[in-house]
Amino acid sequence: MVPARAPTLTHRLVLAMLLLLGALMPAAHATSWPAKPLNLLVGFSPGGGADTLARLVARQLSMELGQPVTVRNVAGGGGIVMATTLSQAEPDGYTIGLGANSAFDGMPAITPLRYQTDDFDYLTTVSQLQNALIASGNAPFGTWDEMLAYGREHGLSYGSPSPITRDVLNLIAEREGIRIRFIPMRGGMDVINSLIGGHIDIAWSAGVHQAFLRDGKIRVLASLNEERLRASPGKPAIQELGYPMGYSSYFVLAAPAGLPAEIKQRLSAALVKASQSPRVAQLAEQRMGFPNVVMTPDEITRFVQRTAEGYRRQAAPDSTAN
Amino acid sequence: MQDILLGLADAFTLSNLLYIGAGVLIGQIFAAAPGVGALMAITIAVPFTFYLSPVTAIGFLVGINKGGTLGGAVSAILMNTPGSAEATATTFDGYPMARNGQALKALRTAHASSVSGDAMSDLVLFLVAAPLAVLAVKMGPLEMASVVLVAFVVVAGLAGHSMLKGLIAAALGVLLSLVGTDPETAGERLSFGIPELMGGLSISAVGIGVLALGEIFRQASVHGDTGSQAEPTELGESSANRFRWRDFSHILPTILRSTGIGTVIGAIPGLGSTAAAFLGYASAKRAAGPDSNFGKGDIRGVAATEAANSAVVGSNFIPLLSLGIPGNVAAALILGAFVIHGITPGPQLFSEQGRLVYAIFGAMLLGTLCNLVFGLFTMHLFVKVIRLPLPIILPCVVLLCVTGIIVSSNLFSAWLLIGFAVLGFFMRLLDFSFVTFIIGFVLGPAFELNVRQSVLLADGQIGYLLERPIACGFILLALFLAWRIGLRRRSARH
Repeated sequence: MVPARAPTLTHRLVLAMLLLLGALMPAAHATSWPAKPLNLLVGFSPGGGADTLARLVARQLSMELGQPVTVRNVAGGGGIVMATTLSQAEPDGYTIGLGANSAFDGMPAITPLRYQTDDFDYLTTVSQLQNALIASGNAPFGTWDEMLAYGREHGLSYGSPSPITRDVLNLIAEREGIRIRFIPMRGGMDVINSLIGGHIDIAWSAGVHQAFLRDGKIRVLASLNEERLRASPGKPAIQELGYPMGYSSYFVLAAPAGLPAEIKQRLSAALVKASQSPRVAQLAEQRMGFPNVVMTPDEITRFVQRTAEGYRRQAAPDSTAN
Repeated sequence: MQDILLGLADAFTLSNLLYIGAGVLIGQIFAAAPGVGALMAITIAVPFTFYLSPVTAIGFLVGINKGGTLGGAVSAILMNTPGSAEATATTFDGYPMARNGQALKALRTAHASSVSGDAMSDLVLFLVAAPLAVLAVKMGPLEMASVVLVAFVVVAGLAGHSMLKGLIAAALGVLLSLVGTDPETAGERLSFGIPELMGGLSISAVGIGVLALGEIFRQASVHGDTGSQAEPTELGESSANRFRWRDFSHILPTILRSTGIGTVIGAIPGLGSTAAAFLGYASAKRAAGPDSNFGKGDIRGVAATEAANSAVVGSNFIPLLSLGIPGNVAAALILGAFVIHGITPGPQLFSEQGRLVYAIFGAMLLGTLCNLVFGLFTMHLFVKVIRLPLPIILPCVVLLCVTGIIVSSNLFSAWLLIGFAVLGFFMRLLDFSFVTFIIGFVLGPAFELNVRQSVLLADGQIGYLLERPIACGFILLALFLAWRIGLRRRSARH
């Protein structure tokens, strides 16, 4: 730039920069992350809303980080196959998992698994699910109280999309003196069609039911989230009905526990950005009807720990009674 | 009516035609390579469709799916290695035809049957999707379980020489389908602490291993022993290798029967094209009587399988569009594309987005048309493969299968693939039916879940069964068919 008297200065500057670079080299291990493609393990089968959401997040994440993000579907057992696989991956920031938080907090609390809630670093959330207790539009009951009355007389068959949902139904059965038969179901749409076809009485839905409210094919009896649901503001939340805990849940992004602090910070920042991107938000909000709730790592970690504690407390009296 | 015209106008555009045509071609080529399959093409293509208009995107994916059902027949006929489980029965008569020098005729039969089955099933979809959906909702767990029972019995007719060995193979298939997690409690089953097994054995590892690689191992060992191999007689364009109108009218009844079977199976979620293909083949074989040439190169065998598995593609859209339930993995991926484009399939779709539904129907018609036209050229091209000697083809197929499975799932699946190839090899050597094995594996989970659901719902009351005439009808049908098969086997022995 200033050629007249600068040669020595330029040389020194170049030398200094080279030295600095050399000094930084050992640390480059951390700063050069991500140096290779990332893996996103998705706890849902291909197709369907959750998988699609995961693929969109993967795209946005890959734009944020400048590395490809490969999606691998590891479906089964309400997310526990994904979580088991994830817990055994290296905490190097190259393998992350997406599933409902119940795979991380509820499942290890109610059933013996090869991982625990603490085996993961929680990074962020993509959206909030809209958990509801639902019935067919043709059911002989339309409200929570009518359902209880009907159930005391006839018993109820309950479509369960995941074992984690049995917890609250067991509680209802016990408190209200209703005999509930648990029918395992393959997924959200299976549940909806079994209700519409009249094969079961009530079911848990994580949100697919919202598309069927308008034409009255499906009714919401109660919100199972901590608060009332956006699409059914007239229906009580489970805690309003005198139950000890709500079952709010989120699509959570997590990594094996023990990520280097710097990588964890960069990864969660990139994931938060990806989850807040207009495409992801639009898919979640407008097309799936899921609020695009994106939490900080601290918020989601606290939420997961609190939920795990809730399940453990609920499971405990049971085990002493038996 | 206006919806129909507007929708069709949306579909018949030049860019749609280009995308759908490209999809059909991609599907044919991917599926023709054993071990790769149209499914992988769809998986790769889904992210690309984010940026297309909904009709173009879905047309493109459906095009791949349609091209795939035809392409799958190619490797089955030419190399005796089905690219996917649904083309297995195509090998039974297609491969003997190819060895007799009628490769081109077999391919043309597959082409004609596949396209006709597909077109008729599309037509059924357009005309009666909505009423059929109402019927499908009525199919509860018990009805589903009894339909699967009928499928099991019909396929038992293909068990081979020994019914006992056939049943053992079927039981082994069901047993292996239980690997993974329990559908009710999510507890681990038969996973031996291996996390990769918790999600169950992948159908591609089991299917390609037992059906394709197992056959290649057998061929390699047979040819190694004798030191020579039967070279295919090259008939070229001679009359025996030509597919004429006479042939078409000969196989037309078979095509119609198989299309009916494929359409019904496709409309019921959870059964899928593999079951349809075997059922189509088994019924055609039964209809042809004991003196037929089935299994030795009867073109009706090829037609029965290909019409049935292609008919599933169209009617699979009935539960997909009207209930939002994908009938198989390909449909599940297409469902994902629907969601991306803001379409929620379900009972309200027809009333709210009629125009879009008819545009998709139009796109499907274009796909069938492209399949018809392209097939005329590609079949001619593919048949050249058979001029290559087997010692060159077989290693290429093995390489494709192994790399294909590593790309589409993981390295663990490649080991599984090899394990199942060994199993398939010994099953052939010891004359255990791999047909009943694969049907047991494919239908096992649906049977298990529906039976368990039924038992829980019935709650110990026999009345639950007696109140359901559809289920009772299917169970009686299964018993009747089992009795007939027993009778036939006894008379064949004497």
